[in-house]
Amino acid sequence: MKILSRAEEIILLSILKLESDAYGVSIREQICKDTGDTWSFASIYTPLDKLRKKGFVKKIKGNPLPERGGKRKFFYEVTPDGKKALIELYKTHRKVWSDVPRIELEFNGGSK
Amino acid sequence: MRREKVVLPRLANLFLRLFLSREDYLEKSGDLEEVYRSLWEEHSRLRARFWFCAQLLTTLPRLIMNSIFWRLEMMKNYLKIAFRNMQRHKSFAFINIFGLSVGMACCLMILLFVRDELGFEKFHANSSRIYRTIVDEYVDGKWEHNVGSPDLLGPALENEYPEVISYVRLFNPSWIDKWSVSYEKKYFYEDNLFFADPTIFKVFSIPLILGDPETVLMDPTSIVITDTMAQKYFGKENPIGKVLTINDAVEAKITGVAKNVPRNTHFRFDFLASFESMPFKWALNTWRTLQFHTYVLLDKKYNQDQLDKKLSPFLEKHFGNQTNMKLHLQPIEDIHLHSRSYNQEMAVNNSDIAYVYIFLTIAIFILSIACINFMNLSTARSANRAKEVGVRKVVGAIRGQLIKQFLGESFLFSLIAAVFSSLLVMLFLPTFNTLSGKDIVFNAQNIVFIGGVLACVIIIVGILSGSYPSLFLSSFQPIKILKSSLSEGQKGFLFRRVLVMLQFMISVCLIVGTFIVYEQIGYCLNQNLGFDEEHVVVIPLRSSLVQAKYESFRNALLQNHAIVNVAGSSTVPGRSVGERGMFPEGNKWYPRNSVFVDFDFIPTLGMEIKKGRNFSRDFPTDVDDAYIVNEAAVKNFGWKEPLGKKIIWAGDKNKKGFVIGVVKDFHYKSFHQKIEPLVLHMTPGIGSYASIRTKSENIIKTMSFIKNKWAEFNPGHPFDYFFLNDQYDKLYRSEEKMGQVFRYFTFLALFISCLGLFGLSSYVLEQRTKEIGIRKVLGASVSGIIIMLSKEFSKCVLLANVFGWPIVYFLMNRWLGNFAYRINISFWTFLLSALIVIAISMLTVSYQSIKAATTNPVNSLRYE
Repeated sequence: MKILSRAEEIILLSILKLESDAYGVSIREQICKDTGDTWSFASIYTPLDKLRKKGFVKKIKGNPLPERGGKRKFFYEVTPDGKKALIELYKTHRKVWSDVPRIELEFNGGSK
Repeated sequence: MRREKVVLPRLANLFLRLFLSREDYLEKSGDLEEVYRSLWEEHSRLRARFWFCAQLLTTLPRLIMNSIFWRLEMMKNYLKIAFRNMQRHKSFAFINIFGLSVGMACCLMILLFVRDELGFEKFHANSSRIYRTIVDEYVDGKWEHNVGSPDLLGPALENEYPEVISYVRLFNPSWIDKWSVSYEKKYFYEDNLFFADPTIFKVFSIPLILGDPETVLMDPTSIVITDTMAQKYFGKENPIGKVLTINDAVEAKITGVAKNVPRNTHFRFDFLASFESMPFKWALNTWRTLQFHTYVLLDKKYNQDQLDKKLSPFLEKHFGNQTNMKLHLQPIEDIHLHSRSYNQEMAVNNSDIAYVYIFLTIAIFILSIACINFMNLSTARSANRAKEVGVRKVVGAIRGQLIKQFLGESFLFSLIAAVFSSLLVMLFLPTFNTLSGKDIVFNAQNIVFIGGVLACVIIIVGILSGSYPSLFLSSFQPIKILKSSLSEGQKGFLFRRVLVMLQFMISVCLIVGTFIVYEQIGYCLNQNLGFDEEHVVVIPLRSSLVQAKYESFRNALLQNHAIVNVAGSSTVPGRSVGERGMFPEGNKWYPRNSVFVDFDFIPTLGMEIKKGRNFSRDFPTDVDDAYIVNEAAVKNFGWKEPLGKKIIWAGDKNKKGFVIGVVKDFHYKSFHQKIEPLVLHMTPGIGSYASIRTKSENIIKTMSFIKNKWAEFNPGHPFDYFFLNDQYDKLYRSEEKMGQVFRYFTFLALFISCLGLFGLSSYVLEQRTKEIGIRKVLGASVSGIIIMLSKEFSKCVLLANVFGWPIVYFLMNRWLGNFAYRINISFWTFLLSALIVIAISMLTVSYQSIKAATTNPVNSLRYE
């Protein structure tokens, strides 16, 4: 199983959250909201592209819109493979986290 | 929503479009634009723009990684492989680069030459609006063009046509060889002295160092000289106000100094004298002689065609109703390349557009020969590269990448060759200048030009020579290559043969061309001219003082036994002949070639009298009313019995006279022209030339005798002379120059072809080493093997001859059409050049084949 990078994980999750309205702009907004950080477009396009090549997301053509200067939207959708990878990742996460002694985390302010 | 139109920053958008695929572009710029719009509406345009650019900047590092870095990485590999290949096959690299750089250097020099040729007269501010008047005459079934015009033409044109803003007339007819110009009794002979209207400064762009262009030539006794002449006559003194004497007759005060005339013009003056001081008054106020050169400046609104159409009524009005005459305007920019066979041309350096084409063709030929070398060698050597191609393909290279790689390699070669070629040009430009009679220098303009040409040549050569190898090499199938070790080199064999044939075809054409040019020049020089041009010394008599002493000078010369005879005449054969309006009985008024001669002209030059008699001292009336015409004139005037026919002569109160003799046709002009009607007219004592026939022995002693006598009779006048036969050689100087340039380029073309053949043969033989070994073991003789090996290439060369011959025959036949008297192209010329090409190519191949044939079969069988 290929391990997803952090950025890829975040992007996959936000696509899932956005359901049928996941495209460049909305994905970026979602991520910015969730992480409280500003992400540039460049920093989401590259992982998106990698995800697409790995077969975890699918690109779907939308309709051209006037507010985009007559260019079409491209929606993203998580494929079954992508979902499987996320579940895999979640499991690994849990396994990895479970062994960490509680004291260490409390020292760091308990932020997960 | 604001009504304002929202647009993405144009440059940034272009950037996206360039670096992204279509779909990616739509998606990404769409996303960006959406946010951009909302930012614009919520905040400001500036903020949106700023954000947009910031977004793009964050993509840069990745972009560079993705698109350039990886490409560079591959590029590094390609370059490495290319250089390794060059190192491993040094002779191959040398042949290619050397051939290409020689080819490019030729190309560059020829283009520099052509650029110079096409740039004539462009320095005049109004060059596109200045025209020269040409009088056309229909003679013997074709139109002849006359550069000369009557003095009344210019003023009439200006008066009658609003299109003509201004005109200028120049007087320096070709029958005047040189003018004698003196300052305080010091004499010089000058070629380029013109009597010109003051409007000359309005029509032409002639910058003055001293003097006001509006007024310098207004005064009838004024003269403008060039900077060089000012230094020649006065050194550092101020020339203004000094008085020069022309032909001991006209006094002219210097009112201005002009900058030296640039080299790229047909009108090269050293002196411009006021038109009104022109001493030959008989040429004025008439429509009947064509002694002047008239230039007109047209208004911007009109063009030449419109005016040309309106000129026929004008002609009728002034010349009378003449169906065989026309008047037209020639753009001044056309003069250099488009007036080769014009009569009375004043330019001495005129060329022909045909030469420009010929040279361009040669440039293309030589460059393509070098390109063919590259193609041949790289495809022939494909077996060596085949494995590399196979491995690359297996590792995942797509065809496009391989094509790019091989194209890139040919670009690399042409780049290296370009560097060498510019060095070659720097090195050989002086040689080329002396050969072609040009004065091309490395100025900023030319360097930019060379740079531009080289860039184009690199691209053309890169694509031309790289296209076939790259398509050919990249088409290999990896399985086949990797399974079998060889035999791919045999592929494309036919194509290579055709290319070799093409190369030698070009070489054959050039060789035959060179031979024919030289044959024709030889023919012109050795042909019987109709008189005896050997051992005749000609002294031009350039001032009236010298002419006045002619008779006594002549008598003094005749005292010497080595001098057979002395004759005076207005011109000598080989120098230009003047034209005079005349009216032969039963014909019409028209300017005809005429020469003033004295009693001794015909016997001294050894011409033959066909009918009647020569001018004779026994007939005192000969001085006044006798003419001798040539055979062409008899035919042209339509006379059955020429003796006693009447001719009326324009000027001199329309003097009448009768024909007393017919002289056999002799060539008084070059072989380009047919022998035209000529009228000899008797005028003792005012000749411009003294022709002295000497005995052949002891010519040096005779010359010093003549020189002493000259100094005795004409103190202060320089002793200037020439031999009559040299004068004839000069007529074919432009052909000789072309022949020379032709010869060098032919040599280069043949050399580059052989270089390629050498490389190709060495490669082919290397591949057949084993075969030759086996043949020898089985009992083949050395000579048998050499013949077998040479056969292949000799076939190509033979075919090259067969295909080349008709082409060159056609082209050279057209070139010979320039000559009224020409050689017939003989079959032997072709055979000889074929033999030369075959011999040279065999020699090239034989070195390799002898080496292959004489190696011990043991060694060759152990090979690999």
